[in-house]
Amino acid sequence: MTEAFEPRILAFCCHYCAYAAADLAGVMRLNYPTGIRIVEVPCSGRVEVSEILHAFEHGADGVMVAG
Amino acid sequence: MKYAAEWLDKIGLGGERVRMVNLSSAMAVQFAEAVREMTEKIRQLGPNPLRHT
Amino acid sequence: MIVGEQKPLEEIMNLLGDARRVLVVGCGTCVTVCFAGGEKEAAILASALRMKSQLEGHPMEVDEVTVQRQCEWEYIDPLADRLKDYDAILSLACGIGVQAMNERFPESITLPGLNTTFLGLPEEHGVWVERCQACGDCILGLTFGICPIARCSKQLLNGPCGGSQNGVCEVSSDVPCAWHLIWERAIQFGQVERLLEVQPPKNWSRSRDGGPRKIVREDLRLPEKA
Ligand code: SF4
Ligand code: SF4
Repeated sequence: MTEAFEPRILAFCCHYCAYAAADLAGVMRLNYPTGIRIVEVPCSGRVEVSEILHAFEHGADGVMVAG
Repeated sequence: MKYAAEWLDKIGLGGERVRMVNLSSAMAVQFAEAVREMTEKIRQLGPNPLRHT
Repeated sequence: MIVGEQKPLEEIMNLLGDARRVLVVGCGTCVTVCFAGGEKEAAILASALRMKSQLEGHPMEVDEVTVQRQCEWEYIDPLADRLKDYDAILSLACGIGVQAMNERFPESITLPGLNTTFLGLPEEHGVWVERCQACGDCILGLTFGICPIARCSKQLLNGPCGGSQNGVCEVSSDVPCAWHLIWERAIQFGQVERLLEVQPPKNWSRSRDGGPRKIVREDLRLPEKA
């Protein structure tokens, strides 16, 4: 089980910066781990602590807030 | 962010599981790098213990 | 406003004991603005309790709700129907809110999730300071608007003690000496002589001496129902 462990990471990304950066990473065909799930938010300041905790409650292994 | 990490520590999940990164829209390389670093860190920490309880 | 602080998670878990279904009840007034027990804090705590209890091997079901003001019947009455579904209610209001819940809903037990700390104000973002002890007989008019009951560590009424050093209280270097501040205000208004008048011992009968206090305003009471 552990050897197959691919961390599931939730990334809250700001629409204007990090989400655009992620988009560009895609366009540039950059490789990055596949366990990441991106949630686009209007601004990273909008992300509440309770939402971060929620992600863990629902099984996320890690959370990134990118702005 | 520190506050979220403190809560994770108190709950027993570990504050290192959350991270904040600052990027501009042109920083695709840094984005991929941050995701890679984070994935490595979490790989070391192991899965979220809540997933299997 | 009333300022409170959340109890440590461990203590809250211990208070809840064997309860399996818990309702966290936040309050939308004082404790919301001091970031201790409003809607956001209720959501965080409920989530934390769910995760921690699960990690400890005895998962709890935790829901949360926030009422506008937990110390008034009309705001808490709508909760009545929900409470029977829970083994314990955890209030994130001040001690008044916790007691209001217990008084109004005697069939349920409501536990405190906060330590109610003092009556004060946010001096700056993230810093709260005590300003009043509800002594029942306000003397701010004699002390140029600075309360020596709440802000002088010794509650002195006739000037500073010998421990006042350069405006700082001897109790701690981060406590300003209330009497120093009062004296400066007196100088500012050119009324130092008013402070030279000796104040007799304060009449504490309007404070806690006579037990719990009560205010009755006959003009505001509703006529008894026939
Ligand atoms: S219960 Fe009343 S006094 Fe207490 S925090 Fe809420 S509004 Fe303020
Ligand atoms: S004198 Fe009494 S009522 Fe006035 S601020 Fe001080 S403690 Fe409060």
